[in-house]
Amino acid sequence: MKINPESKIQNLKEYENYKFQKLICLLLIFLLIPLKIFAAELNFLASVDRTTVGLGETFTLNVSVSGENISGVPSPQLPDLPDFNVLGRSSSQSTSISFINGKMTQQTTITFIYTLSPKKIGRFTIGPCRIDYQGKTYETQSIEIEVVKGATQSPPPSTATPPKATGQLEDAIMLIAFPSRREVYQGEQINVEFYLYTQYDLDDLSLTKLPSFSGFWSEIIYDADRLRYQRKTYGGKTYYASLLKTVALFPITSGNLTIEPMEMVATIIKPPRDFFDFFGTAQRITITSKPVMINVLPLPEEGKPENFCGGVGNFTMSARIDRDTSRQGEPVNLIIKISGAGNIKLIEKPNLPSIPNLRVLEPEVKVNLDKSSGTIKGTKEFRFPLIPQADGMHLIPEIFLAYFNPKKKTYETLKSEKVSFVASGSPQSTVATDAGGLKILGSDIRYIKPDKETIKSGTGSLLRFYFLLYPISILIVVISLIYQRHQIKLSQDRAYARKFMSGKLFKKRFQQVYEYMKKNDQKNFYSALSKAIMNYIGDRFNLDTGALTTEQLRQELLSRGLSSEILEDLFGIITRCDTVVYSPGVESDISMAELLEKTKKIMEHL
Amino acid sequence: MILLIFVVLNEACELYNAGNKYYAEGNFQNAIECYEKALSLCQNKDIYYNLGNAYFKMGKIGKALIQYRRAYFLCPRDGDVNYNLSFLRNFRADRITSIPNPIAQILNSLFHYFSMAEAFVYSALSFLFFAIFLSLFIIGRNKLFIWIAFVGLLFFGYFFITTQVWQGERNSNSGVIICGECQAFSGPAEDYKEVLVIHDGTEVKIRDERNDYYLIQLPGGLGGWVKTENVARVY
Repeated sequence: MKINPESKIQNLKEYENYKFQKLICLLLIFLLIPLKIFAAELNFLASVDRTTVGLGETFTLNVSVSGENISGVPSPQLPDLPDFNVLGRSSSQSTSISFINGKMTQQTTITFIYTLSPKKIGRFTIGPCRIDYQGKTYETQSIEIEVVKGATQSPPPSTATPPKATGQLEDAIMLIAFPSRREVYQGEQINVEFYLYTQYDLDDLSLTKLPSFSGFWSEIIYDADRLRYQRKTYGGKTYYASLLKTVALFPITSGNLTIEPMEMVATIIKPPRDFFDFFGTAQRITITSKPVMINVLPLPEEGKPENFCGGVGNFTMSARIDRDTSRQGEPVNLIIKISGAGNIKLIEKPNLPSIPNLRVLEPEVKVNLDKSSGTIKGTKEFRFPLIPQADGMHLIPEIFLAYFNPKKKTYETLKSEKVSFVASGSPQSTVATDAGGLKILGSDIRYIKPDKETIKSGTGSLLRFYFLLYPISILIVVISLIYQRHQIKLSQDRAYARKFMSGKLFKKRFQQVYEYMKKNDQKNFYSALSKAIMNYIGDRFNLDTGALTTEQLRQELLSRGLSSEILEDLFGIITRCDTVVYSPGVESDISMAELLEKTKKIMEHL
Repeated sequence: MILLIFVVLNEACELYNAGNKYYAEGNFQNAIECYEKALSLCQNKDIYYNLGNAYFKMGKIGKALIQYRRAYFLCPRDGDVNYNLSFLRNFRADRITSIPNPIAQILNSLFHYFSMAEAFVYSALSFLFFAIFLSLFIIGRNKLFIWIAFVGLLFFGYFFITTQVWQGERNSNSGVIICGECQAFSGPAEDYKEVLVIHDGTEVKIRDERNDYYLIQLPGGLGGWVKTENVARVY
């Protein structure tokens, strides 16, 4: 065990310090004895068994709590130890009772023991441990640990194993680990074959210790179920050799890694030395292989792609979708399959680019390994469930995945094909857009309507009068019906037609009469007037006035309900007209204008 | 009289513009007050729409939905109103997914193309059109006129059904839940068993009213009694 002289000095100093502090504490305690009700004083210390540790080794951290009447002390809180693995913990308790000045004091010490192993090389600090007891917090000092390469200490030999093969036997029986290579890249495969070489017959073979292969991902390729001896030479001697195990190793960290020894117990049966030695001698021995150092090169930082997945080897990638359509938000599985030879199990999930309107869930991972050919081959499948958030065509862009090719010593990038599917009836029905172009970041309600100059009432003013259109429409139809009936009568009923036309014709003739009066043409005036009246009566009552005598006419008109006074006046005018027309030289007793007025009056009553 | 109407409309317009200004500033509470006042003077779909927006920005989905439905009643072809209405229907917590019958959907959109007011006017106008061409046919005895009149009658039938659809909707006692979350009971009191928990913005039909409780029914047929203060009528 090496001890760093510096740390020793430091420890001494600390010890001095501690002593001094203790002294002061004691003084204070003495001073405060009358007040010593408040709390039991605690001594809280942390120590390690050594400050220099080899990578892959373990050391112990002892945290002790001591004080009077400490019961129910909680376990101390360890600081964050990012650089160490905590392998185990245990605790022990001891109590010492002493009488001072006839007073009994009970000193109890509880020690918590943690077994730690470092993760990397360097100088690390174990921060202060803390304990909360009766409302007070106690802290230990921090401890520095130096982690060095390789073993600083050989593992302690197990006591119960048979003696090691030494001397002559050591050469005669060997367990040898043959690595396929001694220098590899991190993540690259090495095969290690464990051979048993012997010149004696062996019996009762059993493996007592298998290497743990720490720092490697290991896969056992071949495990011998029985020994198959072959004659082989090693170091100029002939041996019977048998392959026990073939292990594929993939280093996880870089640096010098050690394949720890494998250990086996066997009984050697020595052939009888002479005639009297019937059975020969049997001897039980332990056979150990030598540790093998592997130099693991770190992956080059230069040119390391961003989407490096941790894969080392030679891979191909494919992406597909398990169905083309999704209805009502059913999930669709995007299957990314990586296949090839290499550390396939250690490949991390590819990072999917963010795809609008798709929710990507954590993938389901399936690994298939094929160890039959000596190199680890296989496939790793990532099934990403995709949940469409919108209707339409969803396009999943190319997915890029980089791995390291140790043969070419370069990084290579795999590219998958674009895949797409169509979703319909998804809960949110906004239209999905192409992943490449437009990006929809969210949706909101539309903005308010703009300001207005004037405002209209929603129902509108027109609405108040719309119902008037119904009676108007009905009126139109009724009028048209009446008109139509009138037209039919005009064409079919002569009396109706004559009566309908009578007024119009009379007006026309009366106009003529008026013209004559203006010209003072007496003869024509009276004849035209008489004709107009007679024609009107004829039309109105559908009579042939020319064929009837005045008396017959009077009788006809009386029978149609005309009053006799009107008839008197009417016939008075007619006779007056006739007298003037047929007896030349007779002057009318009243003027033409007066006569016209009179005719108009009678006609109104007719 | 006309002057009075003009003054009222002018005031409503000013209130509307003031509401828009508050809205743009993000002062939605004041915007709501302005719009509400404007609506008491004049019912205009733009005011309803903007009020709905302001309520939505205040996080009141149910109240916003009511305003949009009123705006939709006045103008069912307004793109913004339709968009926000469907946005809210997807936004609310209770998404009742019933896949509507495609024929019913087509009929629904056909008879909701014109608003009720428009349909009333157009049905009267198409009836007038029908009457005119019928009269022309009666007088002119031209067969073409009777066909044109028949087309007018078809239009009248369409508009008349539209008005009846709207009337039916207005009389259907539509309501919207306006509280964040409320319970529906199996009877009109709190002692009854809780049967449903419904959320803001759920559209229901009000089937009955009994001492401060409404019997509401969801589109799927589920129902329960809810306190009247948690439900608001649309029309």
